[in-house]
Amino acid sequence: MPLGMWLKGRIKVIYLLAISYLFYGYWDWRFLSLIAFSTIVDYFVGQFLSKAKTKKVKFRWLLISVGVNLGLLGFFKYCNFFVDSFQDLVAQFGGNVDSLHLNIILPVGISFYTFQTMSYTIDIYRGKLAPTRDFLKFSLFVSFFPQLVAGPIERARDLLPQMAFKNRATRTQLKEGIVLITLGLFKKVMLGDTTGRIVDHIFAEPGIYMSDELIYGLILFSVQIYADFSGYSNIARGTAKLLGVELVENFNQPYFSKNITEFWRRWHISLSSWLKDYLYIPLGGNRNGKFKAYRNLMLTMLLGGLWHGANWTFIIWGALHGAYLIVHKLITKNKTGSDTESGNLLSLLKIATTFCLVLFAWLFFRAKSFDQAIFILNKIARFEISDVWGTMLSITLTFALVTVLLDYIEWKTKSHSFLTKIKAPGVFWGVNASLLIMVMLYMFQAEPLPFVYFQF
Amino acid sequence: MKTLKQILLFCCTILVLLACYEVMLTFGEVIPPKYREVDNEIGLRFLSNKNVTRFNEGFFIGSTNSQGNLGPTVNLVNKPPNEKRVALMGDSYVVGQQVFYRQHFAQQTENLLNNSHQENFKLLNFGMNGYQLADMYVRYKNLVERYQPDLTLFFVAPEDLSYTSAGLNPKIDLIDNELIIENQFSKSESKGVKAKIEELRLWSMLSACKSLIAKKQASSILFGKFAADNSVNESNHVKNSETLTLDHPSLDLITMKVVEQLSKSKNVAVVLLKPISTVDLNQIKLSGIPIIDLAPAINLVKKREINPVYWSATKKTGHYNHYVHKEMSVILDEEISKLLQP
Repeated sequence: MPLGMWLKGRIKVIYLLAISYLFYGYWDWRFLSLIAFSTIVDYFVGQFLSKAKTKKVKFRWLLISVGVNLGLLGFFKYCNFFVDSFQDLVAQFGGNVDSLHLNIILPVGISFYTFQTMSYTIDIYRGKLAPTRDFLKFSLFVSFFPQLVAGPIERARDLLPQMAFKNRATRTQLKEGIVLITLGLFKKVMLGDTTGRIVDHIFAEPGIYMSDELIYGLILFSVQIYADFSGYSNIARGTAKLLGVELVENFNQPYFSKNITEFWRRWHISLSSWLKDYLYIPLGGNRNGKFKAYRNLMLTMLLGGLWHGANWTFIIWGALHGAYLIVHKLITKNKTGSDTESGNLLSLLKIATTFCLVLFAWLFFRAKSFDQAIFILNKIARFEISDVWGTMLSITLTFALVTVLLDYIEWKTKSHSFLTKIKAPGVFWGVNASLLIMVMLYMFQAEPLPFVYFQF
Repeated sequence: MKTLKQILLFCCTILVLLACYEVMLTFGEVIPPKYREVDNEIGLRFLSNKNVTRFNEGFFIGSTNSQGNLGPTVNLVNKPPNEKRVALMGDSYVVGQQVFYRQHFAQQTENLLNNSHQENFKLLNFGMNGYQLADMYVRYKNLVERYQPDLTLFFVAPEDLSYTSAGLNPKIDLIDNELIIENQFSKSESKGVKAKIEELRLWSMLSACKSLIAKKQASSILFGKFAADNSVNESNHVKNSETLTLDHPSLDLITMKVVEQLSKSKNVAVVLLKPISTVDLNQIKLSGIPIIDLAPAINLVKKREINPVYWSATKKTGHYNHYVHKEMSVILDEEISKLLQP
């Protein structure tokens, strides 16, 4: 990192590219060929797209890029899902098919970098972007290590121009970078991992937990997934800032949303905007009447769910969000804009309602299977009260409140790196040092859990 | 002067925020506070009325009772005539801080006994981590007899039959064929401000760090990729545990003497947590102490293709999981009923 921060220009591109490939190969060197293949295909498709004279030829080149990327994603991520689902379907009708299940390892971050490279070729096809002639710059755009494995999913028009590295990171960027990394680590380790440990136990054996414990488990999962993923995004953005690169914001206090449409403008922003630009709008968006708009919305959310993983639980999660969005559009009669005019109490009620809806959908997202989700719902409906409800409540409230507090400060200061607003250097470094001390201490209490979104 | 002010601000900020984290950890309850102390007579004991949350291969939330034990509180002066007390002695398997106490075999056995008998059964858990049979004997003599148990069960595994421990527990010696208990501990407890600091959760975290660094496990946590994978394949472990050899006897002279002493006590029984060697088994049988074998409970779990020591949430092996606790309670219910038959 220090060398990467110090270097400038072309040499920095080469250095960061080598580091990025080393970083990716650290998990499994065999998958380096995959990312290299995707890079080569999209680089040349980009060149051919710009040279193609007719729309038909352009479209053919685009199909190659989309086909290759979706083909890779489909094979590595969804092959077994479709094979198993087909076998289950045949079995439902009394048939029998020999097992076609393949022993495939899912390459880390494949969903992220394939979407990123696809946006490059689609933007060139749409005439919104000129292709880069610099192969190394493009390779770094695809494999830039801070955001390679779990996003944010960057657009070429934002990230590629920054890959020139004409200047080193500014003092402000360095300060913001350090704060983002520190806060990100705190969120990931102290909030995400702690709650994750409890969530893992509850969802591994839901049958031995009481109704209220399952609800606490679900609330803790909502804290875990947010702290874990937004923590990772903070670390990614902070690391990029230290290298002089600005990445997009991925979260904007999503649990403060007053309705589900607003939630999707604040949660995993880089994915939701990608789905909107490259799926919802090409499907027709809201241009062809209400019914088709709802259909497009549902299709987008279903595919958004499937993007997270090859499991019916993710599809149901997507379907639930699709249904929520449609109902919200019906209720608000397709009015756009957020509920800024609501009073305090009404706002809180809306926030609580939105959170409950999101929480219900998280159950399907976290459950191992649809059957397990239904089992948990049945168990919750029994209203059994835990003998350790006080402790469970205390744990849940503490971690939820710390998460809300951090979001509240972000919201009030309108900054993810709000600590930079502290004027006294002694206090600024004191806060950062104490956060790091806590992170280090906690890391030694137990083995760290992997980032949730690494599996996607 | 300005620099000094900033250094002072830096230190104050760290201290204030560490205090805030301590509050967060106290309410968050994920780091257990200090919950054991050294008693001059019995050695390590749990502090009374302490809430404890523990993450190991399993997950435990629970608390100690007002008498500093696990399980129900009982009247030490007047024992109600209808009350039957069963004391459980053992190591971490009996402490059982891998499952919530309602899933612990002690609680489940108590429920089963109370459902099938007119008497009010109370299963008192005197387990202490790391205890061997000799330690259990000392604890039984120094503490448990005060509770007037109708039956005391000593839970043992092969490793509990050769005495090695001392540390914060009374030392036991065999001099002229007599068991001598010495209440001299190799470590002593802190007092005053230091003791107060040691009660902090941040201190617990620091101690855990120190012990990990001492065990040279720090790097494996920081650089997980280079460390050995602790997760276990469930089915492999079943096979491994089946191939355990039981040819080597473990009973040493001190523990043999303990067995001899226990055989003189009324209403005691040995519970086999794991199979012990035939030689050791015969020695205990010869002493006349009743033996309860938990192997059928473990075999029943294995028959259902479940690894008795596998924890799916952490993908680790360790103590018996909740499936075994449940089956153990069925066997213990039957055996305790038999042993306490008038």
